[in-house]
Amino acid sequence: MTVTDNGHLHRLLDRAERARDGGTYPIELFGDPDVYRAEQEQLFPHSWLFVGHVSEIREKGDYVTRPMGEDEVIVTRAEDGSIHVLLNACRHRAAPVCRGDKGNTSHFRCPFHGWTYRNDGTWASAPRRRFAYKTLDVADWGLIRAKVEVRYGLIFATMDPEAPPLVEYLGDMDWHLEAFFDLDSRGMVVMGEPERAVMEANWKTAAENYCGDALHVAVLHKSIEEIGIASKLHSQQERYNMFDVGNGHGAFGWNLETSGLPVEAPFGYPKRIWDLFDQSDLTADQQRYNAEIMPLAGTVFPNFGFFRGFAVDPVTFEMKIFTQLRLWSPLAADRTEVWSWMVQYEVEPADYRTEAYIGSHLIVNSGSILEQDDFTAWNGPSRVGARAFQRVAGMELNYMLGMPGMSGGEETPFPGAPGIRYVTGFSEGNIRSFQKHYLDRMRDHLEASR
Amino acid sequence: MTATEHDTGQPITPPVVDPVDVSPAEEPPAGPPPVDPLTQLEIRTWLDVESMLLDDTRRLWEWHALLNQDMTYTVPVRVTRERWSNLPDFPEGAVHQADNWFTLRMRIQRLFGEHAWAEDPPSLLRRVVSGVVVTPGEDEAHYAVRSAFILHRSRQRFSPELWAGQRFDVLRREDDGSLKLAKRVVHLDHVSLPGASLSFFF
Ligand code: FES
Ligand SMILES: [Fe+2]
Repeated sequence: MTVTDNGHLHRLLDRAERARDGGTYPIELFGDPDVYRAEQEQLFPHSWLFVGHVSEIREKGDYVTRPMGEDEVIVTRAEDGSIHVLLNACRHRAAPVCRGDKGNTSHFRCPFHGWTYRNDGTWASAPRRRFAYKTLDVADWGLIRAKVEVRYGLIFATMDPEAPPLVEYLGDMDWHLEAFFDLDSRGMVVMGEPERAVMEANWKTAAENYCGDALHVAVLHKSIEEIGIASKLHSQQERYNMFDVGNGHGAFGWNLETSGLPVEAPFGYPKRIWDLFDQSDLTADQQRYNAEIMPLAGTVFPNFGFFRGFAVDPVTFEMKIFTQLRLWSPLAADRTEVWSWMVQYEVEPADYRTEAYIGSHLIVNSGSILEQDDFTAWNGPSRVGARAFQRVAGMELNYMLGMPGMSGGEETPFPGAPGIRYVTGFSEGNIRSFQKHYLDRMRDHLEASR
Repeated sequence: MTATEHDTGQPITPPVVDPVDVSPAEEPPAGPPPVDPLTQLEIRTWLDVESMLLDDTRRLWEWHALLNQDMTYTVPVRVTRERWSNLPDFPEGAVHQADNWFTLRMRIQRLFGEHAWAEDPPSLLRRVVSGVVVTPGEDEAHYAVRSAFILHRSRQRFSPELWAGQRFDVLRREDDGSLKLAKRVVHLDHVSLPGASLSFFF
């Protein structure tokens, strides 16, 4: 399928590129159904997409079903321990071969005519095969498979067999992900189940937020000060470190030392937990980055995010540190299924992990005090961007924070850490880079599809 | 996949269902006598009044006064399972929300503050609670109460949300004769929540 109105898209991309240099961006990119279609046809199929965490499919035969763009795939652990990402569609007439969200099985059997596949996706059998399929070349009829790679326990997949290797796609983000996730060499484990909720907002609004919207924290989330679970949010604003990592990826950190919180170790980990971590997988630079920057949130282009936050125990005031994985799975220009996983380091004592998991639910996810407000605020661009007035008015959004002369945010390298660093929360530089990468990729793929 | 291929290794035999079997449902299981009709009526009325308070976001403190101080309020995560998987629809320890008297107080405090954008303007909530089944609890002072609900939530002119589920409550008779909520577990009929902000209560 090709996009119906390429001319319109090209003009919009041209306009966006010019606007971006001045720190603005057409709102249409968040609401236009043609843009959404082009993303689905051109952008998502060629990107590496997050599909799950290795701890979700620990045993042979374990599987989970996951979105990749608008498609549904099965992520499996085969009998030899290898991980496979398979399109959940029978090769005969495309009936779904897997109907659960997760489980354990050696085979997937199609309910329609009974074609059966092994959990590595290969074709296994069909009813009365010797009569019905005498010359079928079964090697050709396994489930459609994505290319899979695992980094730091995170499983990524791409539909594009020609896609560059994941490390190349991640570029300098690989260093940041390693520092963040490999804080303990024994890895992380998913707590509970991923939570899913449908928000009425464009997926890019969420991706922009995680890669570099430090500005909103003290305003939109003001209520957490009112009820005493955070303090000094405004005065902390200048203590953010933003890393524009390149390739559309970005991350930012918040050094908690002057936050007024009981901070005993980096990220706010209690010392008794911090001392358990075996940081031997990290370089000295990465250890210093964790200690001084305390990365808080980041986005891996296009739609995977991570966040490390804290819940303070109301009785002991101990900081319970949790890590959230986020997938913004597109459903329409103005609808996104938000997936959220909580992960803890395996080396943490089980009761600490559970307390952090439970405590996290006041801070992040649909049920939480803090994120309810995000989901409420994010619907503007997709709603307005789909309508007439912004088009007539040529309305553009403002991303001028950190532009020369506008606010702080000179580039200040952090020795040893790749990427451009801005020492301020008053910068939208990461988001501008996300947008630049987005526009470049959209343009490449549109050109290639001509 | 077939029933025998699951990780339990145990062959699973689906029960044979006779399509023309119209015999009446089984007798209720033996056990403590059912709760007397007056108490049942009292509990249903209690749930109706509670619904009214929950739907009116300005009256949440009155709702909070109906909670026992040791109470817990849990919304577990539902997972789609194949019928014969023998695995739980609500895997242990997976929650959307795990609250108690104190954290619920915190949530309500926030909603009454100036910056609770998710509920400003407040959601318009309307729930219908039905299918109430009252059974004796662990002792004379407790009742196990199930109820089903449909909850319509609308906000400004945005798309309304329709929530459905079942609540498993424990109500406790206090010394002064009043009923308080001692426990609530909410089984939602959604694997993916129909709205992204759970800024109200079931
Ligand atoms: S569609 Fe699967 S066997 Fe026919
Ligand atoms: Fe936020």
